[in-house]
Amino acid sequence: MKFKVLFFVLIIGFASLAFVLDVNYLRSVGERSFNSEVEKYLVSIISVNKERISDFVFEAESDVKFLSGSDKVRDVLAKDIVMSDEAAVLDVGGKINIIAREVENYLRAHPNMMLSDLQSNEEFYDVAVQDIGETGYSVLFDAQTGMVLFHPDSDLLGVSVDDLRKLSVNLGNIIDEAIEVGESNGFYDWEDNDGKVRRKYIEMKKVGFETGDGVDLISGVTAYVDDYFIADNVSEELREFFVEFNNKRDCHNILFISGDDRVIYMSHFMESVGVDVKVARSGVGEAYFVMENLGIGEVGFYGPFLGHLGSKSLQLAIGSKVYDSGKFVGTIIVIKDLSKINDILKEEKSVMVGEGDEDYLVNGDGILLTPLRERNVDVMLQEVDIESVARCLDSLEGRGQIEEDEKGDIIPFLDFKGDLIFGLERPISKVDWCLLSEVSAEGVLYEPLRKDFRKNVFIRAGLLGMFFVIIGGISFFISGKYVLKRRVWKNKIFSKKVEKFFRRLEFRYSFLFGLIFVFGCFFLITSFFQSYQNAAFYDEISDLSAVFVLILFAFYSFKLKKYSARTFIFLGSFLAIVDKLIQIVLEEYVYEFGVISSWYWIPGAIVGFVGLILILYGFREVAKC
Amino acid sequence: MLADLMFMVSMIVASIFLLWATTRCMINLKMIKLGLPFFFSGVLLCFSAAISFYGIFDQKIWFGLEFSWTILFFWIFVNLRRVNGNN
Repeated sequence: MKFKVLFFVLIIGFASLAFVLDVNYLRSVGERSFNSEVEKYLVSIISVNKERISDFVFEAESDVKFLSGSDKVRDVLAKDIVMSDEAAVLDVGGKINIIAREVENYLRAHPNMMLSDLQSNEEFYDVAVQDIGETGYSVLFDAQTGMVLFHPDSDLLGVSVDDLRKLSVNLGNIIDEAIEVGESNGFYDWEDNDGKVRRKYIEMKKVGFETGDGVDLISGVTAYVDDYFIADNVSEELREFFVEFNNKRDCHNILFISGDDRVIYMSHFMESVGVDVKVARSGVGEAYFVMENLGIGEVGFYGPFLGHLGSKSLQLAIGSKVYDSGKFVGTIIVIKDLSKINDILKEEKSVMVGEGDEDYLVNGDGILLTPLRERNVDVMLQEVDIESVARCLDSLEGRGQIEEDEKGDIIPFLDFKGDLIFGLERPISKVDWCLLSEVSAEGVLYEPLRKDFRKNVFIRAGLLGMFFVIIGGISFFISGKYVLKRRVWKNKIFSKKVEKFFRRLEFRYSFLFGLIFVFGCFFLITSFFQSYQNAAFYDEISDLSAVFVLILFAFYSFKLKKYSARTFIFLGSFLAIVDKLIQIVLEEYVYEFGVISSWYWIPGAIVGFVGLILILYGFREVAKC
Repeated sequence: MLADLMFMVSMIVASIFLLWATTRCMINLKMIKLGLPFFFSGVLLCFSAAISFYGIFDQKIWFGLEFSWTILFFWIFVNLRRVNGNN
């Protein structure tokens, strides 16, 4: 009795230990598997993104190389330059909307500031009065009286529209029209302090928000026409060529800068055409400084930068110097919108994409260049200070190298928002950018891992329960007191006639039957699995020889005098035969199709063990031990 | 993993039971010769569990193990006939 208790405690102990070991093993296997999956996903995403962005950069570089060697570009740069009203109108027209909006934004942000406060505020003055072109500027008028409220020339402050009309009739009329309809524009002549009369162009627009004390303002942008010079007599053929090139190559614009630093032509005429590039706003000036240091045939990159104030789309400038017979004649700059790169990075590429997935670019200063999917963070303002960016910037500056084919577990880290992420980084060296791909560690690893773990625990707990039920059932079944030893089974399994037949059967016949049976099985199974072609062929010989002996057992069991012994031995040998036959089929299957789970072996093995124990019980009944 | 462990647990449990029952039979009733094949069956099962635990699935070893069962069953059969009066 004590042993039986100990025996069952052992079974439960072994099985429970197996359960705990297995669950822990599955957890570690699951973590490795998920981790490897995350790494493969990130490597694939970042490789694809890097290739596409590098292609974008390469295409831009090729375009500039082509243009810098093109005779058509040399033709344009060699043209004479002429003063241009059109360029002045475009430049002033582009600036008025921006400056009027900047003034409005400032007033909205400071709704309680009186006019007198604003006039003494340097910050507002810098917004209201800005340089335009080389000598132009912006001003502010009173929208009701036309009085000059902000002007770079302090002598003109407080001058009324009537006084201005005395200096320039056209200007007075333009101001009157702006007071009346809210906006106006026109050319006028203006006598400078040195007595020189110059032609000017002005555009005026009413500001959409009043001062704290209710004064409405009109913003005006005025520029001297003689600040604007463009290439003269550019043929229609050349114009069409550059427009077509611009559109087909998906450029924002193509700038032709003369040897004396002036933007003399654009594929699409817009703001800043005709001006000295060094005073041009919108990043083109800074881009030109980069291009100035290039050697012959070299291509330079600048950016991204904001196309103009208030713009939300970033642009990249790619430029190269143009030479004609070895003589420097100018610079060509291609402006590309980064919206294409934004589109590449915004694309959802895999089923793994979920909350927290980001693909973005930062520049050499670690500043975010492309919008994020999940968060509204300002580009060109947000610094991304995380370890993957630091690694990438180090590699850009030659202080380290990123192993792109590195294998191993990927380690999570905190991103700049403080969330735990998995991330990879790749430098894009031509433009000094870093490309980053990140996925939320919670979303792609911990949550799936928890689900997987819960599922495994439930499945295994079920299997463990089944195991206990089977073991318990078998123990109950073979226990002599309860089932098999009872005489109620007598003549229930086989009829009296059958029992009598087998009892009288001579040993040689059972021997013959055993031989026929095992040979039959051998040929049947080998022909089914074609095992004469594989190594399992030999394993079957040992198994079938055991089956042969067990058949002798089964036949002989009928000759046993004690009924309980007969039941035990017959049933035991039958179960052991079943186990061996199952084993043969599984072995053949393994050799033919590959390894199978141990779950397939367990039922047969348990049947075999029960058979062996029943034979033991039967033997004990015969030997009375 | 769990399947492998359960397979081994099944073998160990069966072998413990066999060894216990056989040893009791052999010692209490002094029927050493009759109990020996069952005792070896228990040992063989333990041996199989160990081989399975270490993942040794060499064909020659398995052939040897399977053939041992034939010998043991035959030994038991001979003993059974002898005890039953060689009828």
